[in-house]
Amino acid sequence: MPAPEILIVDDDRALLDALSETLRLRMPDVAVDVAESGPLALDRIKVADYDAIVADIRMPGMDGLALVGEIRVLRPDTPTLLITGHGEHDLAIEALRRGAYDYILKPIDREYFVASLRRAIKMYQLKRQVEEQRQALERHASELAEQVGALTEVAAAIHEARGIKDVMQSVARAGTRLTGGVVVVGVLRGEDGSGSANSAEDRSAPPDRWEVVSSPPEAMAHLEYLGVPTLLDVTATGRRMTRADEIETDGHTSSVASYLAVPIISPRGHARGAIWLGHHEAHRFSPSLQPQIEALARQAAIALENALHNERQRGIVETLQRSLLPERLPSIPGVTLAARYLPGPPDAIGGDWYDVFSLPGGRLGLVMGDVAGRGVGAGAVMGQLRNALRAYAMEGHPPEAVAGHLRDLVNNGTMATLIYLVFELGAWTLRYVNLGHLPPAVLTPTGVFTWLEGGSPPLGVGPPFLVTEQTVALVPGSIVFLYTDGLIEVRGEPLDEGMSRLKATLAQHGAAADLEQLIDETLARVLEGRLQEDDVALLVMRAAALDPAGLGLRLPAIPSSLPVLRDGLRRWLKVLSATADETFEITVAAGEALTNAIEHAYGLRDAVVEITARSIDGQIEIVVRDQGRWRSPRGESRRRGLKVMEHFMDAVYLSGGSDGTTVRMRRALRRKDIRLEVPR
Amino acid sequence: MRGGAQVRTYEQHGVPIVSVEGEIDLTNVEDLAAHVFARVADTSQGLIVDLSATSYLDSAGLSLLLELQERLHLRQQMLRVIVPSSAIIRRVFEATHIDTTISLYRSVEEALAHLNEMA
Repeated sequence: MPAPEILIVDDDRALLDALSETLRLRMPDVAVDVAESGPLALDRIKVADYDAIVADIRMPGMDGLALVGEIRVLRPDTPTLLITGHGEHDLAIEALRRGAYDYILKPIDREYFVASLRRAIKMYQLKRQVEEQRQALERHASELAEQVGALTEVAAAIHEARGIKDVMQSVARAGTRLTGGVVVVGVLRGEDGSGSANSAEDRSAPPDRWEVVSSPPEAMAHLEYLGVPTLLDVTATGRRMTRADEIETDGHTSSVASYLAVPIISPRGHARGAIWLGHHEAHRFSPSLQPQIEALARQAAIALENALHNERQRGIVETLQRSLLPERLPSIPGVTLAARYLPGPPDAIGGDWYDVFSLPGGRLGLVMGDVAGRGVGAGAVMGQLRNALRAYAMEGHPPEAVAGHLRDLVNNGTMATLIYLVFELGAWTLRYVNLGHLPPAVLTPTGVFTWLEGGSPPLGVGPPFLVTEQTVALVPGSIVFLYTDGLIEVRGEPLDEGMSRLKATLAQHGAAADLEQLIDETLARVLEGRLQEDDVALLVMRAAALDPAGLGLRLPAIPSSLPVLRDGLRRWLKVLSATADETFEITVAAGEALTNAIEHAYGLRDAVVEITARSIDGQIEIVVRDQGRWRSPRGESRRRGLKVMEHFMDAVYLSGGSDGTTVRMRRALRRKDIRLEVPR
Repeated sequence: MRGGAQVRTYEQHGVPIVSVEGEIDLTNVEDLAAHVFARVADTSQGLIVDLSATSYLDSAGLSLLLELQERLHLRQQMLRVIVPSSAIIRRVFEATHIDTTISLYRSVEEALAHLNEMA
């Protein structure tokens, strides 16, 4: 603390000298200044902040009381001691009332004078100290508020944790707020592009593994020459802080004169990346700032960890989701299918699904469902429902019974909506159950639009309920459109509006020959460019009457294509009014040819068999073409298959080459058959 | 069981009977074979496969029956296959002349009576 300074004001020169002398002797640490009048004193007081002022109360011109008043204005906290004459107690009291610190009675008691002056000096010094501390605190508080604000922004990013890039940008912005400088945040990505950067141990991370953002965004371009990426690498892989208080710059390419780089270390000790901060002033990154930057790096580490977790989680959920959707849609003569699944934002993924499968007896099952909730949990319930539904459906249960089984399955408080619709191809009927799902839309080729109304409560809600099945006739050429609420639901908007949009879009584009195109149009017009808030799943079916002239099929070379072929042929032969015997025999012959093709394709991936059936002048021609290697029918079973074809058809031709085998068969309808009753 | 067949097994007079309703083809023939072979009992004289309610059968199904017959023959047991004379699938047996290798019966009763005669 510097030496205290005091001012003594008196018009009596002798007294001034005497007091100065006393103080020199008794308070050698105090510097004494003197003034011979009030105005002279004020001139000094204006420029110097004395620790205390001593003034005689009786002075010509401005007396002591007036001086106290002036001092109170100029230096409200500076203590003033007034020297009063003997017996002038009233005057002394008046002085105190006006703000004097103390009064000294003449004749002056030196001991008392010195003690009072010491107290006054001490008091004022303490007061100043307190004020300084208060100001410092205030400054600190506002700095702290700024820092807390900056760190809060990162904390918010942790909470939201949308993605790695978001977190990085948020950290960069926070760094700029914290230091007023430019900030570069670099994160090491795993070799597979994932965030699984266990790269701490990998000391020579190639540059392409760094994902970098800067604040302001354009800063990066100016900083390249400073070797920021290298510094990030050194800092992250070396796991140490790097600092330069003063760096030479040419003044043109960069305005950075000092910098600090800190590693971002995950809570489990892996280096995730580094934060680089630069400032145009030298010596900007004092050690006192480091704790804040380290706090920022810790926050960043947690935020990144969270975002990584979410990315992985999203990956898992999306994989799970996709694994539950059919790999390919069934190929069914006369039926065109298209489906789409759009995952929602990272925190809203999971729960929507669709399914399509052929059922025995010329039926097609269509499913659209939505499990409430998100993430892995919803995905798991969805998987259960999907598998159970398929199992019950394949066992031959009608929609009503399938729904009943599912209702008994979902009772753990999970809510799910679901539509299970069975299209009976031969009868042109739709049988369906709707458990709390939005109604499917049907549009006939002449443009008649209907919602498939009717339904039951969702699964997993309320007391047990009876599921009621609806049956409607389907006009050949109609489309059936199933969807989840993500397509039409807009927050804060009545559901009806979304449904109206869907209806208008289907009415306008429902005739599109290409269902994929219809889906594109629907997504474009119904979502209207707004961001999806939820998953969206769509499934569209168009069922057309079979063309009596012919039938074309492309089926995967797998056994399950056999019932598809049989079903298609049966329906087609029905159109041609073939007899039951003819239908059976042609179907078996075609089945044998397809079985052959499936065996040829054994071991080939994604092999496809092309089948065409044509009706020409009462003759049925069936051509089955595969891509497998040529093999003459081998083994007893295949020879029997050939025998069956030859027996049931009028003519069978086999041709083969390096690119596959073709079986061409023909048979006249309503041929006269001579059947021998073969004795047992 | 996958595909379009449902299988019911029961026993009459100590003879296991496997009844197949629906369609038999490459999609389900292996499952069906496993199912049927599991029903072959050591003690019985044989096995009856009832195809009365089978609406489709092709060479894959025939191979299954022939293999089954061979296995039973090794154990000195007999296979009896029920295909009513009006059944459409009878044509597949006729087309391949397998009806001369495998004894086809019109009903379970007929097959059982024949098995008892043999015993």
